[in-house]
Amino acid sequence: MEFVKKIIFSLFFLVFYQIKAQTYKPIDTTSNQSIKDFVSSYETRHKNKMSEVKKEFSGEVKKKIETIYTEQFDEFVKGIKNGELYFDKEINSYLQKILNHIIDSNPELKEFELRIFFSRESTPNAFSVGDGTLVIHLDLLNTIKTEGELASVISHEIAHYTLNHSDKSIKDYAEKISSKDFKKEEYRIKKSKYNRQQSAEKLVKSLVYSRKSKSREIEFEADLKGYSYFKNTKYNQKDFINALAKLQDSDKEKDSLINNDYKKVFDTKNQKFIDEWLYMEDFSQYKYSKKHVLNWEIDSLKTHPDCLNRIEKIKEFKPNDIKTTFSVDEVMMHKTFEIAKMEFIFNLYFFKQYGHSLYETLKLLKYDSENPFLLKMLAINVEELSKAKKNMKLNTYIPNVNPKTQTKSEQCFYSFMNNITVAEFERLSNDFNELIK
Amino acid sequence: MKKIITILLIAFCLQSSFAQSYQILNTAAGRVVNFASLKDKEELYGYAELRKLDNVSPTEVKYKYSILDKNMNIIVSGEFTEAKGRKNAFLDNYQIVYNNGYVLFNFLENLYSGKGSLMPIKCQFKILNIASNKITASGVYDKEIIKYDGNFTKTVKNVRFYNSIALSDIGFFVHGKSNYQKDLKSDSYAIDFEGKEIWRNKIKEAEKKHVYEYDFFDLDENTISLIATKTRNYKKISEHLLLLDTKTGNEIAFTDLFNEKYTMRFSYSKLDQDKLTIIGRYFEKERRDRVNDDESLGLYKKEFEIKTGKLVSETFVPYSKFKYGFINKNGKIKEEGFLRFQKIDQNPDGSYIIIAETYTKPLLTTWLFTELYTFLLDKDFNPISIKSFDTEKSINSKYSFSQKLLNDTGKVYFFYDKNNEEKLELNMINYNYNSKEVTLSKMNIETKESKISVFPAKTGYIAIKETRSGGSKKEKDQIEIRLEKLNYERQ
Repeated sequence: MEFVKKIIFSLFFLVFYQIKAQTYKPIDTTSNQSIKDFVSSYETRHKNKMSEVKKEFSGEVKKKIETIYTEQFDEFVKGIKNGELYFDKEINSYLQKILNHIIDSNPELKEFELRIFFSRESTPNAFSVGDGTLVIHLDLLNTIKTEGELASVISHEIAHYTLNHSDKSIKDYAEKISSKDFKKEEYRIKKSKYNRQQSAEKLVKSLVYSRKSKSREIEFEADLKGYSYFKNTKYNQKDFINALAKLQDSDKEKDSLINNDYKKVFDTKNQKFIDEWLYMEDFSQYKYSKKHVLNWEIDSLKTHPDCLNRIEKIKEFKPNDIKTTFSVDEVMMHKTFEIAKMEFIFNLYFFKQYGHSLYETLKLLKYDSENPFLLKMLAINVEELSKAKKNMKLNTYIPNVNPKTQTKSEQCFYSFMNNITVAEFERLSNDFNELIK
Repeated sequence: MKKIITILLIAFCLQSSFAQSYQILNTAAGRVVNFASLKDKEELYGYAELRKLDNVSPTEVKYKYSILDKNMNIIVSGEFTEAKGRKNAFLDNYQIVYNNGYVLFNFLENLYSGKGSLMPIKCQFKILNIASNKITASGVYDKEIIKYDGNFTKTVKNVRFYNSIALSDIGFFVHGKSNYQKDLKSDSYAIDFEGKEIWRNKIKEAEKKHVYEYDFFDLDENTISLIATKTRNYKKISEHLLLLDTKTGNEIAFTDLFNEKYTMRFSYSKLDQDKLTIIGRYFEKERRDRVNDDESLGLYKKEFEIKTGKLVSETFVPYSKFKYGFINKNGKIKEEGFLRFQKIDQNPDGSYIIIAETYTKPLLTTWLFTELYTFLLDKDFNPISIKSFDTEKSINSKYSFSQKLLNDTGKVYFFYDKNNEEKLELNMINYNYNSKEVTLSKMNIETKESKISVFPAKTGYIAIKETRSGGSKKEKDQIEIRLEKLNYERQ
């Protein structure tokens, strides 16, 4: 056992070293053939779904359901064609192995045609498309820490599919807004002379709240069913709870930048560091209301129940906490988690979030200042921001400081970027580009 | 990372899930009736957004306000109901003013007259305390302030239009003027943040059959300056400068401005501790002091001592003194037309910059604005230079507003092309205080993908509203509001 551990340990370091030492190359997601093949099979499944809808529904409900499915189809295909889904053989086969292990541990899942992919979306999330396709945002791996936790999220998404949640919620919604009662109320509001806004707001709120409430209900259902699949696998049962606990804290910033971090990076051959760049605006004159300003019950707008409540529900099943080193592919596990870190930064750049990408790059550069990939990301993000500054579009990529919602580190970064002039940006960009040549 | 007006976010978020009932969704969000920048003396405090939500009853309208900070983050929001005097009238929010943690909303109640034109009935206000997020006063402007709670049904026979200005840190100065020749008298109040009068109408009344028409000029912590024009049977008799004490409304001075030789027009005034400066154009004297507004003779500057109202200095600068070859004695520039002075500023070193546009009148009722000009004068009002800048021609004046650059390094003047033709451009004249250089930069207003408009922002910044016109169905009409820092040279 000790020997196996040593081997695994060595392999892990080999992988880690390879990723660190070489210039990391972001995964190419623009392979035409893979996209073509996937879109073609997805189109077939969509057509089949539309035939089923035609048979099962009629009138306005049918029209509405068709519209929603078509919009979803178009949106998803657009994303795929844009290169937002990974078709990389290595990481996909790793993900497929985890899925296979869950299926093998739950023979009733064999009747379902399931497929799984990582996507470039830079939020810790996952979703079930509704046709057996499960999509895991690669950034999820920057929040969860083990393969078991990843498998628990996959189990949850499988449950959404096997419980037919997507179809049911579309049907419920279409029926609700086509109902006689809803239309009657809509008509009454349109014709009323007074208090139209109040009535309209009430109607919109009732519809939205009931949708969100239903959504939270089905999340609980997916948790329970997902856990029933997950507990049959070889992973530590407690990983299901651990994943939820990590997702609960996923919004909290885990690392930050201090003034010295900027001084180290933004002092280049032709542009010396300027202390004024660190100046921050004063917002102390504003007393922001603690009350939520939007007049909506924010908790009622959440699509997901609070993770702490979800954890409590799962705890009722008393998951055991048997530590295990089980993995479908130990080497790929470590490699994929490492890739996720780098891809996260690249994906932000891919989605044109240059400011956010630069911020995350700077955080990693603190620990690895010579990393060629990070230096490359620094250069290309600064180049894009320099162009944006020149075209008066910097605020598209660098948000305004908001003392109410942002951390001090974020506020400092946004101020810093705003304090650099057009000429200084250009000099920094040229110097960073020169550095990576 | 786009900054969309926050209040609209929820509506945008819901649209995809509520695609079938846009009309209901739009009704639920209310309708924006005003979005105004709030000035705190020379700086920008933030913005106010006002939405009309509902007609609650035949005589009540519900509004939602949101007060935003200088970065457009919401500070507070809430709702209030505004009363109407008549069932078929409607309310128009025409002004929002900030002072010392309070926001004043001014409304005009209008009625459609028989021929489709609007008939103003009365002006009224609400005052909001931002810190407590409570309405501290509701009132109607009349010969005296009428405060009310709930409905207001009294008929007000006062058709003056009331303009409000932040008054030191004590409240608001309210100046009412009538457009009706039979009733030209002005009303002036100072009200506190509870809507109570501090003082009222402490301005001169003319003798029988004469009327003083007052125009507001400027105010600071100590002084309010007004121009008093005395008329009899619509004939101008005299012109005076009236100086009032800000805190009491008592008269400080009443100085005759009448000039035997020239007719004066006032474009700029600045109160500076113990001195008041007035700058404008002067014209040849004609009957009844009327002028041909196109043909001025030059610029003048007058300085008054505030304590006594005494004229301290007077400088006249004929156009010939600028030594600009293409300008004639009436301020007409060859091939470009007459000058219109849009903005006069005193620079930190005491010198002056005057921003102007030229215009022609191809037909009697149409105008064509041609080039942009900057006039630089030293602190003694001696001409230094004129500089002209090429722009596209437009049917309206392009001048929008100006903005200080950071660290007092200069100022930018924005000219937004209001033409309906192609090649619309935003012209930005940048005056650098150190180098004394004036430069012009341009930005396209319209591209295939989007159209921009601009509005004032915090010091050193400009607010750009970009509306997408191209792209997918979802992207079309998307609005992005950005705060962009104006470029400046670091010292």
